[in-house]
Amino acid sequence: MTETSTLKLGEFLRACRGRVRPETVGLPAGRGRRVQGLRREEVAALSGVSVDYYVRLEQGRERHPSVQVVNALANLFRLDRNGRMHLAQLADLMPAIDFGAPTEQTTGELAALVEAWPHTPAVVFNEAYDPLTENRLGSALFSVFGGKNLALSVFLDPGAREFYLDWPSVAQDTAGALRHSLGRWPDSARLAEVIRVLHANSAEFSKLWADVQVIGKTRTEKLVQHPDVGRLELIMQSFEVLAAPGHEMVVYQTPPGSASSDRLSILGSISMTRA
Amino acid sequence: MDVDRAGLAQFLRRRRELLQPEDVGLPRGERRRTGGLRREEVAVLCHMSTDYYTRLEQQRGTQPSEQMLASIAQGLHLSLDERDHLFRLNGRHAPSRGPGSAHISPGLLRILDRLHDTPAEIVTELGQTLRQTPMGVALSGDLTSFTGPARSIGYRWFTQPGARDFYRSEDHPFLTRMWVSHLRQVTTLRGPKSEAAQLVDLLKDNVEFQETWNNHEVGIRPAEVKHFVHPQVGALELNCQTLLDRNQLHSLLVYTASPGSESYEKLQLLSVLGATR
Repeated sequence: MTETSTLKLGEFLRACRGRVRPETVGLPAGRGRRVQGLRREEVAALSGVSVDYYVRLEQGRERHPSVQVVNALANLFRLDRNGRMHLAQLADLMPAIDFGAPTEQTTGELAALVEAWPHTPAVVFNEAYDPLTENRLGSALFSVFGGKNLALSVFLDPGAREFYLDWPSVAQDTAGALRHSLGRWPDSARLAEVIRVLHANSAEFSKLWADVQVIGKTRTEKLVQHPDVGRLELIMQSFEVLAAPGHEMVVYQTPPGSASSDRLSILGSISMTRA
Repeated sequence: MDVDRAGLAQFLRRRRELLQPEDVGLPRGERRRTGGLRREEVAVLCHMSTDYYTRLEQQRGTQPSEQMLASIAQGLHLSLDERDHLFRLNGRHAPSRGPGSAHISPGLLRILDRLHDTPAEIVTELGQTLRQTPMGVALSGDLTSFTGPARSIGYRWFTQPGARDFYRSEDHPFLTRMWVSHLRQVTTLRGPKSEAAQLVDLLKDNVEFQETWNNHEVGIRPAEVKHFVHPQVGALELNCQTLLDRNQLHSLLVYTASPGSESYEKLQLLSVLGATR
């Protein structure tokens, strides 16, 4: 670690400490406080480190706080995900860090967002791959799964093996995506539940889970056999939804000018008449 | 490095023929003979004259500048590998990849182009607008034509008179803190030699910037609901979703209004007025 980054960690901690109002962490606001924010002794006591150690952190003499210490400080300072990432960066800890809790609910705004693409399927998933909101083409595309959790559907719905023309690679991607998600959201109860159900009901999942590589679920291509329009070649592009940690918006495109594009338009017309 | 004019001409023609009208949001039309785009159409997409583009395909004319090449790469919806190839055909080194890259992937570009009547833009992590939908231009004006450090909204915020006019005045203090906090994070992430660090250096004599910078605030998220003051339709309250493309660290910003709201009506009006700013 370089001299300057050591200095910055101390400066950053001092600035964070100055911004915490004592009453928000259960301390009396108290008159006669000379410092703005918390005292060093208070930070040490509330984050479970010795005063001496904390002082050395702020002075840049201690350079390698552990993940536990960084998490404790981040919690005490009420840092959000960006703040946590910054602190972890300064402490040379990226990426083994707790990103806080994922968001529970989808908002009306996300629903409005997916509607902005009337001719392209778009779905927002949570960290456990429950579809939270989707546009009409999105729900038409995955109609075989009836709005159920996508990871559970891939392994446990018998229809999945007809729907995905290359099921083994989809299964592998799905296990990899869940593993990746677990790394980021270790405390998600829903994610733990989905993984538990998969272990209990799918030997194939357990096998993949045991030896799968960690892969982020970003852009990939998938071939599906849709019950209404037949074979579709899909190109997926995923986005992190900044306002809702843990949420991922996936947009499914088809190669321009391809038969898949035509079939997707037909699916659009069909879904319109059914709506 | 040598220039391969024949190779360049063939490459351009082939890429143009492969590009479908749907790729770029054009109607296919009945009279289109081949699947590909016409030279005139590609020239518009590349921000150059038909004449200039035609000469490139015919191995005539002057050697394009790096800026021109970047513009062609974007206009023809090239992938990063194809863009690098285009640069090498012109005897130039391929531009750097990574977080500062100004090249939008073809997939993301199509997603932007397929946004129907919705203001949207693609921005880099330094707040440089790379591309806008027509409604995006109608909303905030053309933000893609700035050069140098002024490409970054955070830099314009502190240096250009009028840069804040588009934002409701009561939000200015928050936005000041937000830009600075964001710049601090990116600077820490990308290091002392990064473009972000250069922006910080350029702003060091700005008193307001410096005072805010010294507060060490990070993690200030952009508000989801944004208030703008449009020169023609007035106050607008829009929801802004920031979607991060993890592959290239570009963000897609999509602005929506609640159906039936006053801002919704105003957006409709804007779509009629078009990009007249």
